[in-house]
Amino acid sequence: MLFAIEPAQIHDSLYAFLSILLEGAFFIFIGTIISGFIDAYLPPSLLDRMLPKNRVLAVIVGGLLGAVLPVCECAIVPVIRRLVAKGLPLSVAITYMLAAPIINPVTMVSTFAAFSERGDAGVLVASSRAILAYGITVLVGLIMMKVALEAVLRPQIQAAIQRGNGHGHEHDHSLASGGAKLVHALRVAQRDFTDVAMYFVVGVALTAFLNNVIPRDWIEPLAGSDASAIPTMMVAAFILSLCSTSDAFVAASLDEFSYAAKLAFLIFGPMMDLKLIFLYSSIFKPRFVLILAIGLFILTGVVCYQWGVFDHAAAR
Amino acid sequence: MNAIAKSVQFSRVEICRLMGIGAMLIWAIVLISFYVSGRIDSYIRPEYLRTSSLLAGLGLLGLSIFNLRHLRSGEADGCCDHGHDHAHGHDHTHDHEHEHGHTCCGHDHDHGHDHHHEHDHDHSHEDTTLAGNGALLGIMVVPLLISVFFSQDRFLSAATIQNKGFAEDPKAVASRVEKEIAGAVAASKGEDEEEILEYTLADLEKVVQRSPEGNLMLTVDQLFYTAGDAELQRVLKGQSVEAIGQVIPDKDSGKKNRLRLFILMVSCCAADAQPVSIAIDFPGTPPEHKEMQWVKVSGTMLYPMENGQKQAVLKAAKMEATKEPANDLLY
Repeated sequence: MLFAIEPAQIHDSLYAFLSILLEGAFFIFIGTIISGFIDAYLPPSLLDRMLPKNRVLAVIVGGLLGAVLPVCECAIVPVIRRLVAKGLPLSVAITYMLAAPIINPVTMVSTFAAFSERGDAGVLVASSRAILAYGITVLVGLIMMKVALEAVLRPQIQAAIQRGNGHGHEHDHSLASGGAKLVHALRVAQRDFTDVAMYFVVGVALTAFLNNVIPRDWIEPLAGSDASAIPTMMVAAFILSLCSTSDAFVAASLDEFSYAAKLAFLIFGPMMDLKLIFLYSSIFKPRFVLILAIGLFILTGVVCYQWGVFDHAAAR
Repeated sequence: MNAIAKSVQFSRVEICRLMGIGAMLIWAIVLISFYVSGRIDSYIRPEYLRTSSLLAGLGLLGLSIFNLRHLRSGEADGCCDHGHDHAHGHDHTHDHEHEHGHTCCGHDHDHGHDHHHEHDHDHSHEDTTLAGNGALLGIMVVPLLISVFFSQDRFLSAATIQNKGFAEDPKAVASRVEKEIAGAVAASKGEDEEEILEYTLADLEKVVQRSPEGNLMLTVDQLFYTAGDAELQRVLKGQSVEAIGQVIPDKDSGKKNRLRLFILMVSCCAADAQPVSIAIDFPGTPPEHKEMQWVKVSGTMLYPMENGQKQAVLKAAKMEATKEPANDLLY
């Protein structure tokens, strides 16, 4: 046994678990309401018309959508689920999903504030976070252009896409009246809420438990070099599962780590963490979620390591 | 009688919807009751998030009521249906495309059916579908209820606090403390906060109250901050102060006469709480105390160098148990 767990720590995990649920409920609720209205009111053809015809360009735009439609990582999952079911190209959807929690005004301002409070690194960290995250998400989106839907999406989401494509009108014929559309929207919202909340509960329970029982000072000896500090900080971000809007305050407080390691924490965390693994599983096949997690881990690690090399060189 | 019996009979789809509504109602009731009782303040940041939790509760309540009122509306929603529960009355010659496998409140159960089957396949799994749906909704509701009933609205274990790790950089609390001390001193002198470079004890006494015993009453985060502010150290060193916090063993220094006095600083919710602490040194072995007990400690402030860094140390003359303050978390 690596660590002993007291009964009081189980209680503390329940307390931490409940605090995340109480905080996250609003964001999941908003996400599922948006999802319901997208399903009832957004014609699939509108997405095609709105996005650039060129898929590469669409991915590039997708990475910036968060700046216009700011959504945190809990709220975006039900929205993406519905947009994919409505026929949004997977490459664009994944780029938007990964980028939106980072490249949005709230996260950028809080990152700036957290690092400005402790020195003059606010602009450097906030801008590097947004730029590197954008590059990574666009790259993932471009890779996703080559991947078949069947390999990625749960059968239920695939079925929804086929329904949309097969008829070209889904249930519009039965939703002619405004009242029927509203009933449909709110019923879909309910279904999405119960579905996403279930995954959220499991992810948060694991997060709350691990967060309380793993000693934080385990990671401190690994802060010495970026080669160990960057993966360590990404694992920490994965387990802590913080909100992208507040994680910068925690990262800024970990003084022993370099900016490169903190950036890895701030970029990887909002894209992939313990609660998101479960939330993503409501859209994607488990195998794809695993591949995405490993891919993002490597990609973020390499990008942040290189950033660190430049940063250290500039500091000299 | 038949009409009444019929009106209270529910189809499988309606039962499924009712279960979902029930689960949402439980979340709504928890959120609203936490807000109304004030219990929410022990969990999440009062600004913004407190209101958003109420909005979530009211929103879920409204959604539940709306969906309950439209429970019998015939439009299919994929809730335990197989795509043939439509009651629109229109021609469904195309309904073979409606569902692959069946979905139950969004949880797909792919049974590998032929997509173009007729709708006469065996429904012997209907009961398990409802039971399965209940089990999935149970995941959403049971852990929530267990934590609502068992949580004592605070951390109980010293091990949890030790695992979280104490904040080491006094700047972690700068934004708050600068406003409370430098900002308040500047305001009392009618000057700009940035221009306040020097304090005197008299300046500090204008913004920090003294207890009846004559101790400057400072908070743990304020004292922690002073470890990084040479000017405040100059003024406070050797002064009698008192502070309220929770007490916990000090594991890092190896000093047997040392405890740590901490409070928890929270960014969003209790899960991200970080302990902010100062050392409290006793002349000998620390007096008997319970770990995590709220205490009031009074004594003299010192700022020794330890591990290459100035530490805020309260040389304790007295430590007494005290009530948990109303605002036990520092947001």
